[in-house]
Amino acid sequence: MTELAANKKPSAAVTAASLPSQQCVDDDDLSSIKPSDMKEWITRALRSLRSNNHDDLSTINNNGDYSDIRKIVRSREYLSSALKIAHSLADQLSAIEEQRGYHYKHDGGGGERDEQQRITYEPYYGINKSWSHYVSITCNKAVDDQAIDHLNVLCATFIEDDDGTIKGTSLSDIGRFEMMHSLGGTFVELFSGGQIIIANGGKLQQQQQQIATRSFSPPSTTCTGDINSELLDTPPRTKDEWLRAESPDTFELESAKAIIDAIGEDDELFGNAVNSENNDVVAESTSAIDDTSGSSSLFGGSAGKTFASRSQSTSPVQKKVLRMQSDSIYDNSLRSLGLPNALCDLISNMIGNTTEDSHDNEAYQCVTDVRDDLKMMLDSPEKYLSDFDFVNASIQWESDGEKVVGGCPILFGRDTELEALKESYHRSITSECEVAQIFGPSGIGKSALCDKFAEYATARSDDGGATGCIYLSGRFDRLQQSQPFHAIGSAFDSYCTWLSTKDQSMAKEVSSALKRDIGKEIWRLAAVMPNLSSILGSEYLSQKYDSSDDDAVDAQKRLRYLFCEFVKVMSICHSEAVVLFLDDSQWMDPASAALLNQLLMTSGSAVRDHRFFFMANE
Amino acid sequence: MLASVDTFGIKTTMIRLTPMNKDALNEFVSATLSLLPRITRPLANILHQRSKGSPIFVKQLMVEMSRQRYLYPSLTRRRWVWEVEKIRDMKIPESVATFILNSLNRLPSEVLSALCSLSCFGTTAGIELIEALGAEVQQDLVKHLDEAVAVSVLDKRNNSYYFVHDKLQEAAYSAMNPEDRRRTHFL
Repeated sequence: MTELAANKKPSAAVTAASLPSQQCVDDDDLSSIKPSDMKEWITRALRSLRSNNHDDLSTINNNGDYSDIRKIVRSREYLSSALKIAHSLADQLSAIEEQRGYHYKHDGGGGERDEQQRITYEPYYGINKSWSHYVSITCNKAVDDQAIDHLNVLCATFIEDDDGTIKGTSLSDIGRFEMMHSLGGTFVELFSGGQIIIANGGKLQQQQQQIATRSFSPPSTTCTGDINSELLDTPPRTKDEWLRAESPDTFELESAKAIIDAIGEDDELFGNAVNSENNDVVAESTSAIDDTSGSSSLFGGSAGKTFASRSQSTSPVQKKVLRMQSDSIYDNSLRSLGLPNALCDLISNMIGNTTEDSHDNEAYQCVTDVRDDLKMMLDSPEKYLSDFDFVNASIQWESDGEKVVGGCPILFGRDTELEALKESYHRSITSECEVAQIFGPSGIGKSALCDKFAEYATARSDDGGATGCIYLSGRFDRLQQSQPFHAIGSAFDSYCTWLSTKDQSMAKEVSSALKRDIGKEIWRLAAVMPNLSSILGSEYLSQKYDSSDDDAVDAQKRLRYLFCEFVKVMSICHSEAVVLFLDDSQWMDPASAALLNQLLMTSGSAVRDHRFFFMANE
Repeated sequence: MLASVDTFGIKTTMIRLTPMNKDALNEFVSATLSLLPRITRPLANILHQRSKGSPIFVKQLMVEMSRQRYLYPSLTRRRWVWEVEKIRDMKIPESVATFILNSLNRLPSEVLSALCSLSCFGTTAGIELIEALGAEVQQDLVKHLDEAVAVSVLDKRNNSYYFVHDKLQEAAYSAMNPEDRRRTHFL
């Protein structure tokens, strides 16, 4: 992650005219590292990963069995390295995009399309080289020896031919859509571990001949597109190998069945499938389930056949079908490798982009978006790259479920508010006592904000940033207004519980201080915070005084005074700050308000105290 | 009541929470559906328009959308998908309170009665209390309340159940007829 951040600047600064690949590595001792091209990198990365997994070696034979590559490209190590490369490349191209001043507006709905770019875009025929040949990847050295650690990617860039061009055009002149498409093609090769290669083939006519000749072998090793002339090139295999590689194993079938059973009435699967693409997939998946022998493969095979039959004529309408088919072929091939769904979507949103009448609003409009999405996948793979769980998919939020981080609900877009609260807290505990009040209608997220703050304030860290305060919280309730001090009392009550269970020696200290400063009258406090007895010991409280001579007003006054004394004792005993949080304070009763005022007044006079109060209101 | 707090010359910081903006809302939707923010943006924009940025409203909307299958897990695409047009045309009440009340009425009767019991304790009650009460009336109150948590009627945090909206507690409380109420309070 850190290398990435470090690389971001230099590569963003790279101009379209000069793209020196080693500029990212500015340390002298690293200058000896030679960048490798992408093919080489993939081979070496696969090799080093293969040697890391000795346990799996038994399953590998050298007769062109690609199943181990499939296993490796799915591995976290390979994926994260490849993501780094992809991000690096997207970053380079987005820098060019920014130079052109192209901005995609998010809020306009569809976003403005650069019509000019689209019209001037012309594909380049005749040069049988894909963009992936122009990728240069620089890796770091392994820590212990001088060998290059291919999984420690520093940066990746597109480099130009000797004449300063990529496929005859300089990077800065390449159309936006070709840029996107070619980058997508490069990603396909990268993430498939070189198993799927999209080369820039010859003209449409030639391609069709190729189809005609090659489509006889069921695993059509080459599939082509139309004007864009993508050439899908899987490594040559015999039919048996193909079937072995492509037939879904029994486990996957079982789980697929389970999923269909569980979902039962998925609109897409049963009945309402409107578009043909879905139908195709349904046909494919159901046939795969019916036929476990592997004769009909889940991917590739049937699509290839359809494709071959459609490529006999080239009416304009069928051209489109043709192209969509070819796009979906390498899309499907990628999916069949078991790569994360979000990644497959990302790539198909790049490649599908050239379909001019595409209504798919998820297609990428600019490389900057690609870069940002890759960054997010890199940063939180567990969020975006994990498998989708059909069976448990439901819209719900559980405070102790996986939708929360660190036991506290995640806050969205409350940074300024949280910062204001933290600032007020720090002012309050360092100088003068402060109060913070949070307002907002029911359900706006007041409690979530306070929880987040509590998490911050109670966290203990060694660097002195957070001190780990004593956090007391109470909640006012309309139905409990008849019980004065209920909210504040319960806040201190939970303090008593916490102290008696967590810190015995401190409990003793507090206990003796309370006995010294308050004395026998403490039973009044024990009435509103029952757990006080666990600190003082029940025998101390058992000798009750006769309270019949008290009148109610006096009792409340007395209680207020005792609360203040109690807080004073807390402040003396603890070096930590004391935070009192009162939720739903719109229901505060008059007695509590009077108490709170008195607490605030005494806090204001005592400089030594570190107290902070805050409330949430409607 | 609160005004009197200010009069003692103690510095007070006011923090006013405003509705979520589009970006924050999109972040929320993206995290909920585990999809990239770029993909969820169109959905978030509609939700923002319809909910006016209230987090609780958004949650309710998403539950409702999923109930009506405008938002559903797709087997073929291996992710959540949604139907923009249908969501845009969805009939929803103007206020959150009525919206949640409607969803309250759809809950199974035992969940509803558990909610009524809870409402007698105010807007919140600790889980131990509920467990003790459940043992008393021989009902799995905790399980029923967890169901209510799942559809965002209740909130569960720090081992307590909260009504997500004041109106809800009121509604649950008034849903009981006076006799039941008396009996439940007696428990």
